[in-house]
Formats: sequence, structure tokens, C-alpha cells
Amino acid sequence: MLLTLLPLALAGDPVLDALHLEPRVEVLDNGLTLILHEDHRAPVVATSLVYKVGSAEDRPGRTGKAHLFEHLMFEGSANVPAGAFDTWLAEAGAVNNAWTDLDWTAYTIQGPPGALELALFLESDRLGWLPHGLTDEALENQRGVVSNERLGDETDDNSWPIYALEAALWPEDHPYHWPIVGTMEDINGVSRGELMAFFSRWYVPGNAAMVVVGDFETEAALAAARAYLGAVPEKPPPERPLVESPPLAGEHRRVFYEDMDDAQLYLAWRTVPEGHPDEAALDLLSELIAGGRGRPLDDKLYYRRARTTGVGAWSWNGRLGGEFVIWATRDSEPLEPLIKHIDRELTRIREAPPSQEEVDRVLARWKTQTLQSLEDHASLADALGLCWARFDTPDCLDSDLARYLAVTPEDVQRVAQTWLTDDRLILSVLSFQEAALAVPGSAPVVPP
Amino acid sequence: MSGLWSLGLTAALAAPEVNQPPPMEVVEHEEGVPVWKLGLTPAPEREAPTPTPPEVPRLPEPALATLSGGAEVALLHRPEIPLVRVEVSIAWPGLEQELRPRLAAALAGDLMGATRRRSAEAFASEMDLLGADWAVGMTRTRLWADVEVPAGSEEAAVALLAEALTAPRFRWLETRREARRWSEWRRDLWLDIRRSHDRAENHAWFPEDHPSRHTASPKDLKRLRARHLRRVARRVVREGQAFVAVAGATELEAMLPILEAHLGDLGGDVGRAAAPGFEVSGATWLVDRSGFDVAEISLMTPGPAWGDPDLAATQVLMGLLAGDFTSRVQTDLRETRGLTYGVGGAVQVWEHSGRLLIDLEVQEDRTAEAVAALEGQLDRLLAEGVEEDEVRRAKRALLLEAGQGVATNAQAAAALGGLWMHGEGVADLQGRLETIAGVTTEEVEAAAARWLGEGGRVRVITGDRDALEAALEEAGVAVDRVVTARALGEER
Repeated sequence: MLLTLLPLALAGDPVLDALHLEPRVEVLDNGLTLILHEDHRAPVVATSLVYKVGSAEDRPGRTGKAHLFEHLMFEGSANVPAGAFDTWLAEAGAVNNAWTDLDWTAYTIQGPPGALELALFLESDRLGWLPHGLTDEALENQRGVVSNERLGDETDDNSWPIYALEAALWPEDHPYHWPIVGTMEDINGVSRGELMAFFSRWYVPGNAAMVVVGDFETEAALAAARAYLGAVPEKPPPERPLVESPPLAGEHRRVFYEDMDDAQLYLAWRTVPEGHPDEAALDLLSELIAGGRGRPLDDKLYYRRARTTGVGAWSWNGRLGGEFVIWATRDSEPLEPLIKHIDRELTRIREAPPSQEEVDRVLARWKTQTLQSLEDHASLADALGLCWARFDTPDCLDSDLARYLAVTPEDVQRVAQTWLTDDRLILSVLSFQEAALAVPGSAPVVPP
Repeated sequence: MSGLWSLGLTAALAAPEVNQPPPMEVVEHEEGVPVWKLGLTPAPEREAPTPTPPEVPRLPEPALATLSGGAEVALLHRPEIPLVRVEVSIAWPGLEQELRPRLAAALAGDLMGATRRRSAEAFASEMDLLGADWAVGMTRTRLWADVEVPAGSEEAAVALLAEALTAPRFRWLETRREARRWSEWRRDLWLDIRRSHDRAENHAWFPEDHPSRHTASPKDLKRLRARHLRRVARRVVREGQAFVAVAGATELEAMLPILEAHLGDLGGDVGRAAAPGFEVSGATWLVDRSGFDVAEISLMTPGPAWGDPDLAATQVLMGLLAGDFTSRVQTDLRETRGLTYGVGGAVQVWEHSGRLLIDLEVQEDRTAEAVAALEGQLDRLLAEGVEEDEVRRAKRALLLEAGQGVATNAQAAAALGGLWMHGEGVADLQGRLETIAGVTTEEVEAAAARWLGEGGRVRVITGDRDALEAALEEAGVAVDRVVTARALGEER
């Protein structure tokens, strides 16, 4: 669904030109995709090994597997003793990390050019032969680490309500219902065997792309990548089933009782998966309505009238669905009156498109932010990897931005009419002592 | 590596209809879920390649100039990405010991953006149309403003930025509203365990009259008026020394006329006075905040001030003690014991003092174990010294970090501004990197002996007193002060 050719009107835009990269792409015999982009701005090389697997591949009763597994990837493999992954990279002057999302998992390394070969070796060894080096002790330690990660989220006023929001927005059997980190019970209950089966199914060369960005010479890097990553045995790439995520039916009012500084209100809708023709307009709508000073909800609820202590919006789109969320916070006052103000702005956009200037403002910022996200090698490597994961092409950066630049005020109006309907979730988050401030008629929700 | 292939693993799959594994032998069923036996293929024996040792990164040298009013300019030409970033810093003239100007300055920073010629909304709208990422703010040491735009829009962006700095508008109602928001935030501080802990860290470290101590109270904030904000903003812009950092797809010849036209008047001659140094003596605070399953732990010791010859060795020391995943505290508390998601380590350097800080969050019922393990790591380092290998790794991590720290225009401009605030330039930073590369184990051990001694350790532990006090006592941690989060929140 992604545009592959830029509209003629956008040709010659220096921002799009800067985003038009032509990385070298090669698919190895075992199915692994190599994406190499030379960039000699600094003596740094960044790798990002992206796998098409995330917490959406977990299952109810066995949540958190994808994320816990990510932690185990650092604990040793056939030719890398426990602890050596980090130590060897540190000796080379390199650092590493990883992240697990709902749909993707990525492993990153950044260091001087001399560390590249080691990075490729390490990634190949854990992709090919992780179970040979993993110990039960490492698994138990990482259970503790991940449990602490979840407890940290539970302590955070910004993170913990999101657990409740996603649980209330998505059906129990939908992969976006449960948290990436998993439930405490599942973190502690998953067996080593289950984790190894997870590895065997998802961590195969045909389900991964290695991106290398930075100060290297392509032919030499290709030779090293072929030698190390090409040695990993081929396995059949997995199927990733799509899960239906129809819009909510009716208005759902929920409340999550938790000690909070300010009471929080969320209005949330299910929208479209990534790559959908409405994705760009929904993103721009979220910025247009509550993207900072000079935007309607910010001005009316925060700056001109102190009706809230904070307000914002986001649109997010994943492989299996999307969500549009407007949030506001309030200090010791009822939350329901805020809904009326938010609805008034939504009605305004549904009834008449925003002005071209309103859209231009958002688009201009969007361009700058897109360029900024590519400034450092690590971010660029991640971005190229996500292009491959989301759109099966490593050079989507310019065509992806072009989708946004093509959005019209009428598109913004249309997506507001289509998706921001009365079929929505209204979630109040506040302490039990302030229960009277919740939106009336809300049923309690408990995060999984 | 022979013999590895003979390992057998079992795998229970929760949802086999969706999660089909690769072909394997079904050996048993457990509660209706098939359990599979994975036959591991032999792993080839492979040698890890030996990387070439990293070199000390060469930091880019900026082009330098001075505007007619005295503001210094440093420009880093980075043509690859069509963005230009401009960051203006104006150092506080003198040192404000009084609370009110300090609070007025902080509040003024929050409200900057409205000008005498444009409403805040109009200002934001014009910046948006340029595609500008911009911000203005005031800290205890400087007024700063930055903007980043696609190349070609830099002149309009600098003009707007200059207007925000030199012609700010502060009105009664907006000032009151912002002060009230801050006041409410301040009033509810005790509800949040992390904010309570941050405040305790601050109060346990800085003496009552020190300008870095967090003392704003709702009463102080209520007394602030728009005229206080106007006065402090005017004074800083008129008297403070100024610096402009530029990074991006532009060159000095192109930028100088723009900067001169809009920022040429900046640059006072009143130097910045340093915050005073102070003595630190060891203490342990327990902050009582129940209702969470976690506890927050911080361990602080004195550290080098800016310009201290031990700074580089101390940075290496903290790197190997509480830096990356290979550091001692990370390895012991996270990787070996699974006690925490992560450990933070920092060398905080001020004009006349410094602080080494290690902090972590742990499950409440393992707090005493974590404190004992943390202290044990410091004691062991003092008793046994450090290894050549860990010193080398810590140095390399610092050098990589320095290179990464100027990767983006924002980072580069911020780095230039930070150096200028300390009267330094890129050459000084480059020199410090060379010094780090040459740090020896003996120098690290000397720094450890100087800073990590038991007598200077300040510990702050925040969590449920009922759950923690006895366990800490049992672990040999004597608590000097117990304070509730609510009382701490009200303390000046």
C-alpha cells in the first residue's frame, strides 16, 4: 500500500532528496536480508538486526515471552560464553541494546568501524546457535530483571495507565490487549523449553534483516556479513497470521483506580493498521488537534483556560490495527466536563476541514522531525530496518514522508468523520479516594 | 565446543494452532499442550574476530567568530542533512542567592514565547510554518533558546528566536496560572515515589542555603508577579555574557550576517559567579512512602569539581563501577542477582563541587540485599583495586560516548554551549579525551580512595518504612534520618 513513486509535485524537495537513500540490499541463501548504507559523517558503525516478531506473537496465559526472550539473547551462545557478549563489545569500544515492540524486535550495536566484524559474528552466533550457550541460571536472573522492569512501569504515572488503556481498548484475545513485558505470572511461569520453541520458530534467517549504517566499505562489509550471517542454517520462515480488529461497537466507559498525582482521562478509538491509506491523515490529525501551543485543544484546555494540567493526542498504527487517543489530566476536578470540550473540537473538524495553513503547520514540523530522526547512525539503522519490516523495502523513507505531504485538509476531515466516532473508549484513571471524579457509569478495569 | 549438540530441550507451546513450531518430535503432552523435544544440531566451532583497538575520536573543530555586542559564535558545518540548528545561551550575570529571582527565572523560562509583538499562539504558528523545532527556557545558570529548521529558513527562525529573548511578554493572568500549576505539582510531589526520592536526594546533599537546593514552596510561588519575571529576564539579557552555537547545513559566511542582524546586540559583560562549595558528611536517609512494591536507592559520594585533575580518572572509575552492562554494579546487581532492571551511574560536576551518584530501583523485599551488595562493591573496589581490563573497557566506553555525544545537530550545539559555560572549547574537550585514554589503573585506584570512602557516603532509600527499617538494620545499615514523603515535600 506504500507509495513507491513520489508524486511529481514533490520532486526536488530537498528534504525528500535527503531521505532518498539507496542502500545496498542482498538476500543471503539462508533467507536473511542484508541492508548496507555507507555514511562517513563520523567514524561510527551502527547495526540493527530486526526480527519480524513482537509481543503480538505471545498468547494469553503466555504473555511476555517475546520480551523475556530478547533479554536472553545477551546471555551467551555456542561460541560466546555467558557475559562475553557485552564484554567483547566493550573491549571493542562498542555498546549494544535491544527493544521489543508489539510487532518487531531489534538488536542494536554501535561502535567504531573496527567493531563491525565482531558485531556480525556475535549476531550470527546467537541467531544460529543460541540454545547451545544459554543456562538455566541466566534465565532465572533475567526473570528477576524483567520483573523489576514491569514493577518500574507499575510505579510510573505515565506507563501504568497505558496498561489499563490497551487492556480496555482491545479484546482479551487480541495481541495488543496484553503488555509487551507480560504479566508477572507469565514472566515467572514460562519455561525454558517454551522460550526455546519461541526462538526456534521466530529467530530464523528468513525472518530477519541486518542493517549496517556508517563508516565502512560496502564490499568488505558484505563479505564479512556473508561469512558470518550466511553460515547460519536455513530454516523455514514462519507465517504471521493477521488478526481482525474491528472498530469498537458503542461507547465503553471504564475506570482504573490507582494512586495518581492528577486524574487522567483518555478517549480512545480503534483505527487502521500501518500502511493503510488513512494512516498519515490520522497522524496529522493528532498533531493538528493537540500538538502544542497554537493547536485547539492545547489552547482551549491548557493555555487560555486552565481546565487541565496537561493535554495531548497520539495516533499509532501497528501491523494488526491502530489506535487514536486523546488524553487530558486534571487536578482534583471531575473528568466528565472535559469530554464536552474535546467533543466540540472533534465536531468542528468533522463538520468543516481544517484550513490549509493548519495542515501546512503540522506538515512543516513533520518534515523537520523526520529529518532529525535520521541524524545519528543508530536511528537511521533502526529506520531502515523498520522500512523492511513494515513495507518489505529498505528505502521507504522518502516515499513514507511523501504520503504525509500528500494529505489534504479534506483527508483530515474525512478520517475524523470515519474513525473518531461515538464508538470509543472513555477511560478515567484516578485514585480510589477520588472515585467521584470519574466519568459516571464507568466499569472498573484492571491491567493484565 | 564439542558435546554441546547433545543437549536436549523441551518446549511447551501454549497455542499450537497458531504457534506451529518447526518439524520436531512430539514426546509428550502436558495438560493438553504438546511438549516438543528439540534436537539441537551441532554448533560449529568458530573463533570470534579480534577487533582493532578503537582510536580516540577526533571531535570536529568549529569555526569561531564574535558578534558586535560581544556574543561569541561557534559553527559546526555539517552539510549532509539539510537542517540548521541555532542555540543561544546567556549566562546568569552574577549569582542570585535570593530565592525569588531564581523562581522568577524558572517561571519566565516556562512562559517565554509570547512577545510584545506577537501572542504566544501567533509565535508558535509562525515557528510551525517554518518547520521549527524550538524551545526557550531558563535554568539556574543560563537563559537558553534553540531552534532547528530545514536549511533555507534559518534567518526567519533566528529573527523569531531573538524576539522571544529580547522582547518577551509576561502578563498577570498567565503568570498566576503558571505559578498555580507549579504550586499544585509541588504540593502533590509526595504522592510519587520517584519525585519524593529525587527531592530527598537533593535535600540530603545540598545545604539549606545552597542555590541548588529545591526550596520552592506554594507560598513562594503565590508571591510571584509578572513584574518579577520581566525584571529578571531583562537583566539576564542585558548583562549576561552570550554565546551562539550553530550546527548544520550552513557556513559561517552565510550565518554571520543573520546572527549579527538579529543577535548582534547580545552580550553583556557581567561574568557568572560560581555556586559555593560545601562540606559533605556521610548520612543515611530513609524516606517513608508506602503503597508501592518497589524501593528507590541512591548512593552518593563527593566527586571532582570542574577543573579537578582527577576528573578523567573519576569518570573511568564510575564507568567501571556503575557504567555499561559490563560494569561491576550492573554485573552483580542486575546480571547475577536479577535485583534491578538497571543501575544509573553519574559523575556530576559543578563549579566548586562534584558528586558521584549511583541509583537503582528494586523490589521492596530485596532492598536490604541490594544496599548491602552495592556497598560491598564499593568496599571491594577499595580493598582490592581495579583490573587493567575493566579500566580499558571503561575508557573505551567513555570515548565512544564522546563521539556519539555530537552525532546530531542538537547534541553538537548543546555540547558547544555546555563547554562555553565552563569557559572551554572543543580543544579542551579533545584534550580531556586524550587524558581519559591515558588514565592508568593507579590513577583510578587513587580516585577511588579519594571519593568512595565510607565517611563520605550519603544514602537515600525511599519505600515503605515498615517493610524496610528492620531489614536495613539487620543488614547493618544504620539510618540517621527517617522522614515521611509528605513531610519532606513540605520541607524547605
